[in-house]
Amino acid sequence: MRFAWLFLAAFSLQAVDFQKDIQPLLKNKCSRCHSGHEAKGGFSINTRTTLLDAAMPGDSTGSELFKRIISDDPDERMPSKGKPLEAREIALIKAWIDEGITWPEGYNFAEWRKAPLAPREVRLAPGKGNPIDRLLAPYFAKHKVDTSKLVDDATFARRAWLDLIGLLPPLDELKQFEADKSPDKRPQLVNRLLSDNRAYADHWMSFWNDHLRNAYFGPGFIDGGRRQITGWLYGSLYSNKPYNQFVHELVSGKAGAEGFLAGIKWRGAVNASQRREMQAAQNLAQVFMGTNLKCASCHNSFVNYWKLEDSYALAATFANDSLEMHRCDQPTGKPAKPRFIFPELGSIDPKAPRAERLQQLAELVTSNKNGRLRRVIVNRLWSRLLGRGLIEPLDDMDQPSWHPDLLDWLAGNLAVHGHDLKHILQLICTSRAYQLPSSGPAGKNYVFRGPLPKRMHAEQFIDALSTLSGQWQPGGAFRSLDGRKQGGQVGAVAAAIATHLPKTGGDGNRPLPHWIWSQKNAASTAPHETIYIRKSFTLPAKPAKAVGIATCDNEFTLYINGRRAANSQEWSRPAQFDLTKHLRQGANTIAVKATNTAQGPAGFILRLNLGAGRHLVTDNTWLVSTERLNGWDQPTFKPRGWKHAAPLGPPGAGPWKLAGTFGGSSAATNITNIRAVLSRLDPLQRALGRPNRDQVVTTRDTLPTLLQALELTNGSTLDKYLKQAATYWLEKEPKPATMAGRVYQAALGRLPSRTEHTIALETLGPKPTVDSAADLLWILVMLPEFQIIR
Amino acid sequence: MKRRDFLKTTAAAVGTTALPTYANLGPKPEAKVDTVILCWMAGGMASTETFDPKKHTPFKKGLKSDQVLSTFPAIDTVVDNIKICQGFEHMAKVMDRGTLIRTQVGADLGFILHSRHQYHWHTGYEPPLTVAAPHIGAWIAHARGRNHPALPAFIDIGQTPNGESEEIKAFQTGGCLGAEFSPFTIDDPANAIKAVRPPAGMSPVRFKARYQNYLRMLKASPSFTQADSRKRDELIKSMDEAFNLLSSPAAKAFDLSLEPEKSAAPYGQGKFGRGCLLARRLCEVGARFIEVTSDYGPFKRWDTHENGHTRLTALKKDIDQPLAQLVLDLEERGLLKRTLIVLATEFSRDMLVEGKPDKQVRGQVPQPDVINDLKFYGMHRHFTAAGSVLMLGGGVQQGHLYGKTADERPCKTIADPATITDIHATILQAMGIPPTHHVTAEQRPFYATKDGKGKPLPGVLA
Repeated sequence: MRFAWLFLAAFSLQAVDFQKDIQPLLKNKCSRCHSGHEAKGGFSINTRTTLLDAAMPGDSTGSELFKRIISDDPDERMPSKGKPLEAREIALIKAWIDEGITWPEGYNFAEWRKAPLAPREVRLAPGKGNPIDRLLAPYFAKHKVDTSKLVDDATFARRAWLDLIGLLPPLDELKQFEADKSPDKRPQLVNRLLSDNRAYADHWMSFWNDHLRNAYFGPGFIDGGRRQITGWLYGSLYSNKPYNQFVHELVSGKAGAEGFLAGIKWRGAVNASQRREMQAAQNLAQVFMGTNLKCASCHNSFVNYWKLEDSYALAATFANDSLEMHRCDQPTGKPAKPRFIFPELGSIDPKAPRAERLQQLAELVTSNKNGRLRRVIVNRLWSRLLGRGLIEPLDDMDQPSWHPDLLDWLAGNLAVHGHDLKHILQLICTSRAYQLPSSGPAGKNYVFRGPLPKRMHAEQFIDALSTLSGQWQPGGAFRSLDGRKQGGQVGAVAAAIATHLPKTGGDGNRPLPHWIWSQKNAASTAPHETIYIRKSFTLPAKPAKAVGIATCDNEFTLYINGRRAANSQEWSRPAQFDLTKHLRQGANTIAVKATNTAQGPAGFILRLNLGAGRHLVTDNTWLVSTERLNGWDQPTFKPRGWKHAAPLGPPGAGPWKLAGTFGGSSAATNITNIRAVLSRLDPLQRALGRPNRDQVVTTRDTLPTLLQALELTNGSTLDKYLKQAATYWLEKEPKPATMAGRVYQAALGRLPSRTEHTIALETLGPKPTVDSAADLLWILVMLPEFQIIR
Repeated sequence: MKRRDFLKTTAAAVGTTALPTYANLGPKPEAKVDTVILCWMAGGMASTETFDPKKHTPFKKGLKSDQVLSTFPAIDTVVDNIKICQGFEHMAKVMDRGTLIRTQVGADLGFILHSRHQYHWHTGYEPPLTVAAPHIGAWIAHARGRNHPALPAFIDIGQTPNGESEEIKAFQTGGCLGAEFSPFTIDDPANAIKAVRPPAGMSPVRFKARYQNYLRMLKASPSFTQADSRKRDELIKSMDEAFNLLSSPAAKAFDLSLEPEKSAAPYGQGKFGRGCLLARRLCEVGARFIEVTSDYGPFKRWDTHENGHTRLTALKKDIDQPLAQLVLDLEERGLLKRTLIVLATEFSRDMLVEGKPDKQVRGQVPQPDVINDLKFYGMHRHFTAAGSVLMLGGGVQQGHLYGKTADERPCKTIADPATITDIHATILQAMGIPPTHHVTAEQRPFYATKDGKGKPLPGVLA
């Protein structure tokens, strides 16, 4: 056994990692006598330099340190107190010395690195351009990173679409974007994507479900031991709630958000370190403060500076009654005193009732003095978009950043901009740093050279299939809660949207818009057609503010005084628009091109709030034509022979049920085009890494695995999606040559090369069938080019 | 003899949630077996009705509950000092192929809940935890890799999905080891072949053509920059492996229709029996860890809250011959020496005592003092103070009995208790995996046995 290390060392296939392997070992076995102020025998491990007194890089057998730990002589052997090192520990030290004694720059054993808590003001050097790029310029120069070349439009668009709203760029929009000549089209695209509230919320909901472990189904629900925060969370994302308020509501347990603090109540006896108050403490610390309290929930931590007392102090803040401290599940007899883990931010009144304590805690967490709160979130966002954080691991914000100025500047800027997360996303996505060609892999000494390629997450992949097939998730089963208060996510989201859509009028007397079309039974069915709609109106003065909302089954484009101002392709996602700058005193004209893309219900509805109690709404005074006439969208056009629109009913009418959005009374608000985020966890999504949410997940495992590949190769879920998509394309583009090209473009955003086109045609066969089209789609969605966001 | 080399698992190293660190450096015991088959009696198998017979009291009206310890008489086995219950006549003939442990002691989880005790048994950790604990099969997959280049290392047979309206069982995962070590699940062994053949309605010719065209398309697609190549290669490799498995001769092992009628017959038509047959076929090809479950569902199968005697008669019939046949078949094929078959359950049952004798718990099923109705004749309450575990095959003492339980109620452990932690250490040790095998998850070490402290049960390993 004594020399077992010789044999065992052979198994060390991987480089020894200081932080994971060596640091805890030296800390536990040597630091008591050889670090900080202690230097028994004149030897200290505080820094690499002091350690080198007893070790030679690359030569373990010649190193005193190594000789001492393997010595058979009890007087010589280290550690001098306690058990000798185990064989595997010895093997590690040996490997570490032989590999050259790696040591993180600036690391000191004297104490755990503790990052400053306060915000730090970073001044930008004078100049122009995106502040991120200005901050990075010296860094790039130092590391000789060539930043002259940015990715092409198609790559950029795909990145932005998938990163910001989780969807593939639709083909026509991609083409439009590529054709656009305006110099600011990229920032414009970013802004447009971020302003799609629903798509944004759908995408970031997965991120936050993981972080806040919000599950629709799972353990704990069985006897009311768990609560969803689905409606609150979706509404918060939809309305882009300021981040400090978002956190405040979670920490203070605001109605609808209580589920986060409540955690999971497990039936039966539970280890003291997993009581619900402790779950809340651990999760708050991890998610919002980027630090690990889990170790210190049982005993003083050996991975950071937290003591048992700190964890219990935070947990006690959430407790209804006094909370007794337990060490390794054994009661200590000591009551914990409520306080935040960073008492320098302020105190909590231990005598105050729970609700008040939570308010006090929420104030401390979101306080402007707590710079860490904002560093944590900007670091998470940076990592989401660029593939790696400014600090890693994301949950250990005491680690040094590769660019402290950038981190602190972003954190500060978030505060300056009203804690608007979309603002940070916008800043990042419009930087040259984001637009650099992808780089990687991240090696030992990470240098940022551009975003790392990212694999699509489960939900992005499923949604991409939906984009390709036009078929979204069935939501019917999840409109209401079941007997265990599980499910109901679709209903909760629909209600949240209804609540958060800006109301275009304030009082109960405002006129109701009506659905309109060219014929009166359009709510039931109308042919596939495009109609033209006009409304002219006079304004006594230019309004101070004019905002509107409109939608159409199936799609519309709106022009105000001849200028394109709004459009939507999906009736369940009404477009919101601001017409203030386009309106003028006197005559104004709204012109709308509305298309029913297939036989079925058709309708258009609009409300425009002109301020001072004035509204413009769709009704039978609007004019319609089924003919496209020259200049029809211009204010000067005379709509001779145009008919009055047929009113189809109030907002809650027809198949649409949008009373929640446009006003009026109706039972339910409807949403369609439901994305994967609201679906139930299925084998395909599980294989692709969507977690069950018993624990907080801040980084997903996106490694391709055999199980995943099997699910992708023969799983019935994917097979179903592919067949749907194949059917859709057969109808849309029955000719093989066109289908091949279009499917290719839709999936990959580019035309196939000649060779690719040939392979696609061979796959489709001379007369494409559902099977052959499904095969082509499978081939395309399995390509790394499809699954990897470059 | 099976292959013993450590086949490296796909992409084991970089990018997983938990990075293997000095995981494989601990004092590594010699591997005595290469495959583990866990036969899981889901729902709580009463030991005094199966492998630990006590005084038999036949049913008659007016029977007093406190007199009933076993509702089945004991029968002899091929091992002199081991008696088991009637209904296990086939098993009685193979009890010399391993060790019977009678003293599995459950954790104190308060309210006796199946899901939590099942979680505890499968992961070795008492839920809830801050870290997702891996299934023991995932640990074995992690430590030893695949036993056949194409077959997933961890195969889970027979559990109907969403049994309890939960999304997935939290213990049926790779946990912090990452998705790579999650089980390949086959809910119904009769349909196992579906899991490894092209989707329904796709001919092998079309399936192959699709993959060939995929490879051609891959070759034709513009080359990634060097920076992106790793992610790309990982993806292509996983697709390649899937295709290899699906077109590998090994996939035939999943097709139970290929089994000759004569050798299939002893396994019967029951789901568990078919699962055993599938396990045997997979062993022949090269499996690493297989769980065959009797399929948990609340109040179903071994979860006998009423009518215990009648139901156990049928349940034993379902497992007796298939399990014995699995032992004999593996032996005949020369595989038994390198395979460890473990039969286990989350806890035992008793007619009167719920939980542990000295700890009263809530939620007991009603049991009249005097039994007039056959439906009250059986073990209907959850009992955690002694349960039976069978370990047959390689690596363990043959014809051995471990642990002693009281002959009077409460029939608790009175000598040599076996904790779940130590039972796991025993299984892992037989597989050549130290109890300290671990990874670093969230900066902390996470061990294959609880806190790395498992110790193999003394005298059980050969």
